[in-house]
Amino acid sequence: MRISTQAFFNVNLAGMSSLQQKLFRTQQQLGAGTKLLTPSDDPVAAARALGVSQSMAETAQYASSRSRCTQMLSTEESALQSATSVLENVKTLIVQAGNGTLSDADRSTLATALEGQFSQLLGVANAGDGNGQYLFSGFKTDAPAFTEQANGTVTYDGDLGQRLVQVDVSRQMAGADDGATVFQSVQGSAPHVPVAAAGNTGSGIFSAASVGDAKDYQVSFGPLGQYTVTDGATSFTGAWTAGQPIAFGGLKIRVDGAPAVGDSFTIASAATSGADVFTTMRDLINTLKTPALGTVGTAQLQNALSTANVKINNAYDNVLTIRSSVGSRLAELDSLNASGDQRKLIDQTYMSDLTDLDYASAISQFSEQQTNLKAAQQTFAQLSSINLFNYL
Amino acid sequence: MSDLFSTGLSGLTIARTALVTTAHNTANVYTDGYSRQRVVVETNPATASPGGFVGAGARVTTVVRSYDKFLSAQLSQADSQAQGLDTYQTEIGRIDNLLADQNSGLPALMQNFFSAVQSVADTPADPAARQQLLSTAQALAGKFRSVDGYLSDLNSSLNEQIGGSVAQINAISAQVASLNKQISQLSDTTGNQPNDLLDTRDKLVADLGKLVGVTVVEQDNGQYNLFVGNGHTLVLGDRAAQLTAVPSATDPTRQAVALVGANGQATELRDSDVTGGSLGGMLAFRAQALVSTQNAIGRIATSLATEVNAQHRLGCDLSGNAGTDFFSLSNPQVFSNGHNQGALRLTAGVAGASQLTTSDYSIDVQGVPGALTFAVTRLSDGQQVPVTVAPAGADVNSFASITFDGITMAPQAPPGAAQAGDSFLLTPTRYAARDFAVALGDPGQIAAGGSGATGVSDGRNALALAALQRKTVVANGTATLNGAYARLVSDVGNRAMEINVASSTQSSLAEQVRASQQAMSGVNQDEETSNLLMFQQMYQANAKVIQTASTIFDSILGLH
Repeated sequence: MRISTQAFFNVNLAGMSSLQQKLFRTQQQLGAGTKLLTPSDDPVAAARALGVSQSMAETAQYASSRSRCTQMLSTEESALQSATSVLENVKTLIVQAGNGTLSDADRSTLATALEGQFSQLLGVANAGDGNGQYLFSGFKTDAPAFTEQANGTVTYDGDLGQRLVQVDVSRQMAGADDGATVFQSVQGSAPHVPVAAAGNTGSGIFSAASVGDAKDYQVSFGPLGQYTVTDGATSFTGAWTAGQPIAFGGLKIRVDGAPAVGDSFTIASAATSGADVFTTMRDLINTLKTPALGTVGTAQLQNALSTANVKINNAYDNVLTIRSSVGSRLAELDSLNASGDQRKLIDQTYMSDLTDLDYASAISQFSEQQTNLKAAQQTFAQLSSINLFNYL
Repeated sequence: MSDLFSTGLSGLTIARTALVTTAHNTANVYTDGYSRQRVVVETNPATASPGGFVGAGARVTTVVRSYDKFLSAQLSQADSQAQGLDTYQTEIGRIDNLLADQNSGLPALMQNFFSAVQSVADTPADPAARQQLLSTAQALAGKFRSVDGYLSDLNSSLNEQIGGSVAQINAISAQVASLNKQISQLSDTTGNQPNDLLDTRDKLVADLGKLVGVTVVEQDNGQYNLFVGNGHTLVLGDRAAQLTAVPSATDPTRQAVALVGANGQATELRDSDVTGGSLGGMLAFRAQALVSTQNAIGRIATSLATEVNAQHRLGCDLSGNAGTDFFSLSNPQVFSNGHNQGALRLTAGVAGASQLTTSDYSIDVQGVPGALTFAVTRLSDGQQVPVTVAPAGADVNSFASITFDGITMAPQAPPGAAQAGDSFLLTPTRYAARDFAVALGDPGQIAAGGSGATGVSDGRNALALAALQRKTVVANGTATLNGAYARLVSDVGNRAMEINVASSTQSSLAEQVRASQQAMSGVNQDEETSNLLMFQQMYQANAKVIQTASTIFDSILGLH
């Protein structure tokens, strides 16, 4: 086949140009460190890389949410720790107040100590979350959870909203517990609370109260030494002797002393009896400030202390249980962090497989292409100088 | 004697002509489209003499070019196809590069947006988190607009290039027409082929082929008739028709090629009929890649805005007010065909973002007056789409709305009557990314809280908004937002790869044909140099013959 002069130059030029393009492309890949310069290089890998990058972004989002949740729960854990120690102090004070040798003045001193514990607990309940918001206010975190009223009672100003945090693909975790649940509730397993009615005029003192079922009981004393015990549906009336244990249905209770006609004692479930720890403490403080006059006053004091003891125990158990749930949530976050890190590593490895350049093969490809180009250029230079005119 | 002189002279003339032709070839060794020429020599009729027939030299009958018309036509076609694919490759490479951006591209900004939503869900009361969400939303909206702007600029640049190509085509076809006239005149009067003009005309036709695919038909008188598109006449003998670029009647944002007829009326050529050359490549790119890419980006914008707005409206902001729209979006655009006789105008709205496709739709009015119906065709696959008409059974002049593929269309007030033959073009998502914006201005308006006014740390709605990134909200529930973008990247990447391969295959093919053509018609410098020597010696030899004749004559004259 004839080779025209123009064809000779064109073919050589096209060859060199194509080699230069390949060399340039390899150089670009080496510079960028990726083998996917544009999607057309490998459309399937490009689309998969987008999917992996989305997965990595989501994993990072959850990691950041978990970190925030850990911070919130740690702050709550430390607040609950303070609350626990306050309640332990209160329990000690109750035991001290039950000492029969104390005078009214002594009990007043105890009441003052209790006031201090009360303020401390209120402070804990209104703790901040380290981010300018209040910890125990539910959703209404811009205002403190509890406010003390003029009469010494405390109202809950927050709501029952659960601050859920997306800590993993399909796991939303509560990052905080609201104040009503922590300070105004009791656990389902809390024992019944025996309460002497406020209008009792006798000196009956109850003790050893226990309820085996879920009903609310009431024991009232009538004339002729009769007592009536009822669970709201059925009742039993019998003759009462001091110190004799009263058993009815699930109720077992013992009343000593001399209850007057019309006196009554209720043994209701913990929730019905009032679960607000602040109310319990305020009532206790008021009780200790009241002088105990005579056997009636002493009896009332003993009964009040017994009631307070049960209620404080119930509140204490509640706080401990919530604290334990915070602990297990924190543990879960740790394990989610570990699996999140694992997922991140897998995604990064896959992404690297899809897009990263194999430097060894790219560099050897580069030097091969370089050699090809040099060979093409040199042969062209030699051939183009071969001319008939050289010999004429 | 005189016969010796004339024979010698004939040889001298041939040598001189051959030398001049060789010189011409040598001068044109690098001329594009030149076919090498050679002299055709024929022996002169012999003189009869009693001793036998005595030769009388030779003469040059004509100068011909070494030319194979089939190879030439094949090369023209191959180059035309190669140019078309090359142009398509360049244009689609621009979209390919746009989508290559991993770090600051659309998916990265969407991920940032959802991360910011997650941060607001974690700490809804934090004003910094809310502000961050608005900022990332605005960056995302800006990115949608800038991607759309890039694609719109591509369209504008294509429109300009179409206009430029059309002007060039007209210039070339005018030249071909005038060459047709000159060539037929010259070959008629002289009986010889005007080789250089023929080469020039072939070169012009090849150049024209690089602009747009043309079919060449050679007439008996040697004139070329050129046809473009689907048999439309561009050059007939010595008359050239004009092409012009006009806004398409179906879609005024796009230029189409039109042929100006004898009466001055411009008839629009269908895009699919104009193939080959850079113009064909541009039109193919526009119809296949540009439209679907712009629509796909718009569909993602529409789905994102629709889903986020719907969820956002279910929540409460910091002041306890119900959420309003987070993003603002425009309605799908409807174009009435420029040839519509009726007065009906249509509007469109999104009925179900999940059912949207990336195709444009053609809505045609068919039937007889009094019972006109709509026929809706999905342009990506040419399929007819079933339409739900409300009220049921209503015809074109009494309908309230029609619904199909996630779109609802209704007549635009003031009402007008349609006529059979009217048609409309619906672009459901083409302008969605262009008009995508953040509607909220105040971080406090972000409805992070659940329904009903609660407190500042209520992040329930924000949690639901963050969950949208995992929800399959696009393409009838088969893709998430990121998945829809990945599909687009894969589609464009695949098509670009296809075109790259086709283009390099076609280039190799064209090179092979060119090598064959050059083998036939190309000038080889060494060959011409040896021809030069050859004819030089022939000239010297024939000059010697004349010298001998002269010497003989002198000796006869010397006799007395």
